[in-house]
Amino acid sequence: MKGFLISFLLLIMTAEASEESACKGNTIKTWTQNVGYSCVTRFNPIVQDPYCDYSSSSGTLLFQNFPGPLFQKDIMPWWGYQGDLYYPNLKFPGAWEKDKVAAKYYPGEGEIFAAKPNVYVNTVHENFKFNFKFISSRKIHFLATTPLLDKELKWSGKIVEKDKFELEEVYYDYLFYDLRLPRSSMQFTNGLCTTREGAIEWMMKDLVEMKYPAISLQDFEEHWRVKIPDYPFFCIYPQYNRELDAIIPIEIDKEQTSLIRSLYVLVPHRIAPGTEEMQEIPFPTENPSQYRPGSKIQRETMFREWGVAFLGD
Amino acid sequence: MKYFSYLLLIISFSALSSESSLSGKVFLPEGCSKKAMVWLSLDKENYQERLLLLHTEVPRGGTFRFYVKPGNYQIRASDEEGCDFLQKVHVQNNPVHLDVKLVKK
Repeated sequence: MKGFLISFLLLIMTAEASEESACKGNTIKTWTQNVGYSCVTRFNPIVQDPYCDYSSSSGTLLFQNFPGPLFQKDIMPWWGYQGDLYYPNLKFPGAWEKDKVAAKYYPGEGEIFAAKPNVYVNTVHENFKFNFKFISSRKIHFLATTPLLDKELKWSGKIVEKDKFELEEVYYDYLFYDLRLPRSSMQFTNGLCTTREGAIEWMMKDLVEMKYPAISLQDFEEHWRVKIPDYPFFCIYPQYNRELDAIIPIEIDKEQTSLIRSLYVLVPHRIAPGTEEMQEIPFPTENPSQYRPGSKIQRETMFREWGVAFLGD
Repeated sequence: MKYFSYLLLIISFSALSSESSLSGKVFLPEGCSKKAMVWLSLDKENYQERLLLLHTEVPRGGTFRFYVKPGNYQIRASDEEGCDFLQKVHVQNNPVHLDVKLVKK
């Protein structure tokens, strides 16, 4: 009888452990303070090794639970290989120390380093003239822009081929800026914690929900698969129009135009969230999707902006 | 009061001089790609110290600006076809502008 009880308890413990550690099918494991660990649907199906698709083998199932081959398809873009040759920190969002962006190398103020807000556009019009102007009454602490802003902190040009910017006779797929933002203007309540891979997939899924164009998703994945540092876990705190319009307001001088904004603040963790004692940033407690800008209302011209941000030291 | 004014002047000056910028226009000749990556790093010979600070993709004829502290930097530009550009830049308080002319190697 005693042996039976011990076996029964072991069986329950094993079942619970396996539920916590693995997500089945096309799902990934995520973590939030309220729900704890849970499995959510992947954006992309799991990528299999193209040279050895052991999982679909019709042969023996003897090795089906073994880990996959060590070989992994390298997905670095061309600039990744070149950057790796010259810079020791290519696979970080910038100069990096103590799990943060090393602020001492950058000018300006603000604890949040917003890397690569990229602005994309779709319009129904041909040769649609536009002004995209930063109108904050406070000083904006830019780190980079492409192309140059004019003295009024404005990009002026026209939209050609429905989705490209033309400024001074040069075509740009997107407008780009880096900047520093005050931590106090960001929200750290809504979000989720997950693995590095899970974070990339969740952010892309979030962009898909907001109907970001395909080219912007492709750019996002290409850039951030390289530039998000290799930590096992991240907590994601999405900042949407609600936060960004207040701290970095933008004016677009056309009617029937909208700007959807999304900036993901990523906080890396070396061990699984929930087991560390002290947290500089509290774990998220609310579902972030409730504040996601709606994409049901379509305007004639839709600007969409994505970015990823990190804390600075 | 006089010393206080001097102090304010010094503080203002140091605040102004802690930020400058480095801008450029990208020239890509025939045989190069339509876009280049422009890299901004510390100007260090030692690989481990040559920290990459920022980088941006710029199309042919396009422009960019990096906002930097005064100091010594390297601007490198490269493209998918092996075209390249490298220049060491000393940035002081005044903005610096470069013609980033890539060369096919």
